[in-house]
Amino acid sequence: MRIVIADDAVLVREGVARLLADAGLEIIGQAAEATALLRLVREHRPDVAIVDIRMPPSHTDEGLVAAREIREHYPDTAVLVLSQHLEPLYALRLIEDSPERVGYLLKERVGRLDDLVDALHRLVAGECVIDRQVVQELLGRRRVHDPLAELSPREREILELMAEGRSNQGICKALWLSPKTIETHIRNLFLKLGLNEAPLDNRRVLAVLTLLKAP
Amino acid sequence: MGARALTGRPLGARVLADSVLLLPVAVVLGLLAARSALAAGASETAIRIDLVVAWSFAAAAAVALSRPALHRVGVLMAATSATWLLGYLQFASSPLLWSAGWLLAYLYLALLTQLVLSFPEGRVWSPSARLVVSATYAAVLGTQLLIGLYEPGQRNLLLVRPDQAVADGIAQVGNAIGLAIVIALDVLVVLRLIRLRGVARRVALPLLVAALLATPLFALRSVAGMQGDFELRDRLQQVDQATQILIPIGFFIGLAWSRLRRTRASTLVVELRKGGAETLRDRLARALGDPTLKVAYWLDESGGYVDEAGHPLELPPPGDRAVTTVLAAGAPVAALVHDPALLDEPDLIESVCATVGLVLENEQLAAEVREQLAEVRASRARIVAAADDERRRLERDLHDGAQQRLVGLSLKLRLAHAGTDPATTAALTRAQDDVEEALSELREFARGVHPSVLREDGLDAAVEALARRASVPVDVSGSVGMRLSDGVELAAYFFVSEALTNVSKHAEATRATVALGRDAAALMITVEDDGVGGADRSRGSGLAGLADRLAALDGTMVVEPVVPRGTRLVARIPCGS
Repeated sequence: MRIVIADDAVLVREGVARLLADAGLEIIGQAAEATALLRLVREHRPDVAIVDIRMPPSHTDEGLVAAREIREHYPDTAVLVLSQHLEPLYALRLIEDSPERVGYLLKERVGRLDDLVDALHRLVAGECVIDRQVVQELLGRRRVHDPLAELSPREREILELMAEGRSNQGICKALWLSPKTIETHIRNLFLKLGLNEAPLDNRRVLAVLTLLKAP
Repeated sequence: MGARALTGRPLGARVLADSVLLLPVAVVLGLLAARSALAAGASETAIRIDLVVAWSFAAAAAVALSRPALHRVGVLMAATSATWLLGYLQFASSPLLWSAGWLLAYLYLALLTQLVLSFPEGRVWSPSARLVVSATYAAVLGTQLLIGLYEPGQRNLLLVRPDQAVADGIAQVGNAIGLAIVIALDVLVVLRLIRLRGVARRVALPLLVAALLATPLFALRSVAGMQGDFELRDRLQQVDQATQILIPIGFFIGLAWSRLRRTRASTLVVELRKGGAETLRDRLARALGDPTLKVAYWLDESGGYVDEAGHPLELPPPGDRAVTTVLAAGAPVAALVHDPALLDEPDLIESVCATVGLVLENEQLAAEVREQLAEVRASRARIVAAADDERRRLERDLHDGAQQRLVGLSLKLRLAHAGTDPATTAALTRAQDDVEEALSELREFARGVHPSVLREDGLDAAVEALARRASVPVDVSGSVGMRLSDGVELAAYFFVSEALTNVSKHAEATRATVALGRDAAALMITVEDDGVGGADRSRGSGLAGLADRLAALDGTMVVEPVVPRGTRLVARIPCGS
């Protein structure tokens, strides 16, 4: 797996690069800001670009903008955005064009090598990855008329995993359940949420997140 | 005061200028004169008329003397009263008294002329008026003197050669001169009435009109005398003298009129405070009855006067216009440029000045307070803006400094795993957990300092985030739909944040709603809960601080109860979009 890393903090950039290299992944370039990142992507067409959301010059959402540009022009390159923000809005903005091969993780996940490598593999496989804490932030929203209130604990668990971008297979693995059971749960779950036509894989992440976003 | 000023003068002059002594002396002298006239067989009616007129003048004089501005007029009136009965000396048996009575019999006419032509200042109006006054004195004294030379009579000490025909001839000429003088007097009075304006006109009008009304009979009497019909002349003289009572009456009317205006001046305070479309100058001009009035305002900065529009104003030299300075707290605040006639009413001027002083001092203070208030508001807005900037900077420093370092630390801890024994690895993993916990707390802290979602996505998204994190279910309705200024967005955000914190802390609510709305002028936010209510600004510093923050943007906050239970907080922030 060929990877480029963009982060203006050298400490983080170098640390991630070393960690991933130790894990046997190929780091083919590093950038301190968005323009250099885009040049690297254009020249090397990496499998994944790991991008910090805050980069020069304004330190706001340059990483997010670059991520969307990469997804638009280089569809074979997956993008993992590392962010300080728990706020789901940024994740939603990242996946609103296309929920494929994009990921949104809180920055501290880089220290969890297994999680990070797992996320990178899923992205390259075409999945969508959303930080579990961000999903919980979304699902944690208490509503006056809460559609989630009708879900069983199991259904809620499955919804969270779906929202993180897991495929049915991934959910089976995570919960030790058969694919058939999962499918039944998902059907019931969508019925309760009013999403009768269950979209496939990443489509449903979008659907779920959009549903949850609505006030 | 007038009496004291005249101390040292002859007794007669002192009595004439003393408002207290004058009346009793006039009454006693009048009664004495009347008694001798009655004894000499004079007409009772004529005596009654003379006494009433003489005492009327004395009364008018007493009143005039009690007012410093009318002092000169008072002296003239007292003299008129005193000379009115001088003719009665002719009832005395003494040749000397008779002759004096003869000579001075018509002196009152000269004093009357002087009184009219110098009213109300007491100074003869003009050179031509002075000419007429002098001519009158010359005529009334000269005619009597000349006639006396020829008028037959045993007590006449002036007699040179008794010759009734010459005496009558001189009397006829004298009457012709009298006619000419009275015509000249009427012309002067009419001209004066035309020229007079404002206050002076009101003070003088009744007396001058009375003088005009009294003159036709005098003219008629003079015409009779001119034609030698002395019998008709003397009968007319009685009626003519009776009509002179119009003059003191006119004087009293003028006085009452000005007193009436002083009553109005006392309501000036109320008038001036009313405001309205009329300017202070207009209201003052009306209260003082002087349409020519100008108000000059003192400016400390420039050390000069300006008019109402703020243009520099030169005070006119004394003369045509009078200037009265208005003081407030001992310093000049304004000057009134007005008709000098107003100076005759010092009470009026004084009360007006006092009132104007109060009003202007009040306006000055109000202006100062307004200015200071504006300055305080501006500085409060600057303080809040500076604090907001500081929050923004702090949040950024946390992200770019501490957070990055902690992430770096977490990475280092993970890199340290390589080649360590299981116990060390477990310790490193625990340390990594701690770092992540710290990062999580730091993130919460940074969000409280300055929420990045507000900065990057605006109020709608930020309020949505607040609602999501609230401890009770929150419905959000409405939206702002656009970006507003940093200050407005931050104030609105903290308002919703603090309101929802209050709901979860104090209200025992089960749910809350947040409504956002915006019109052309302002942003409206309503946060409502179904809790126990009782929120007020004094409870905790949260709401009070919010109110201050909103006020810095000229915004307002209202706390009101909801029926049957709950609390509603409504914030309105001008956003001028």
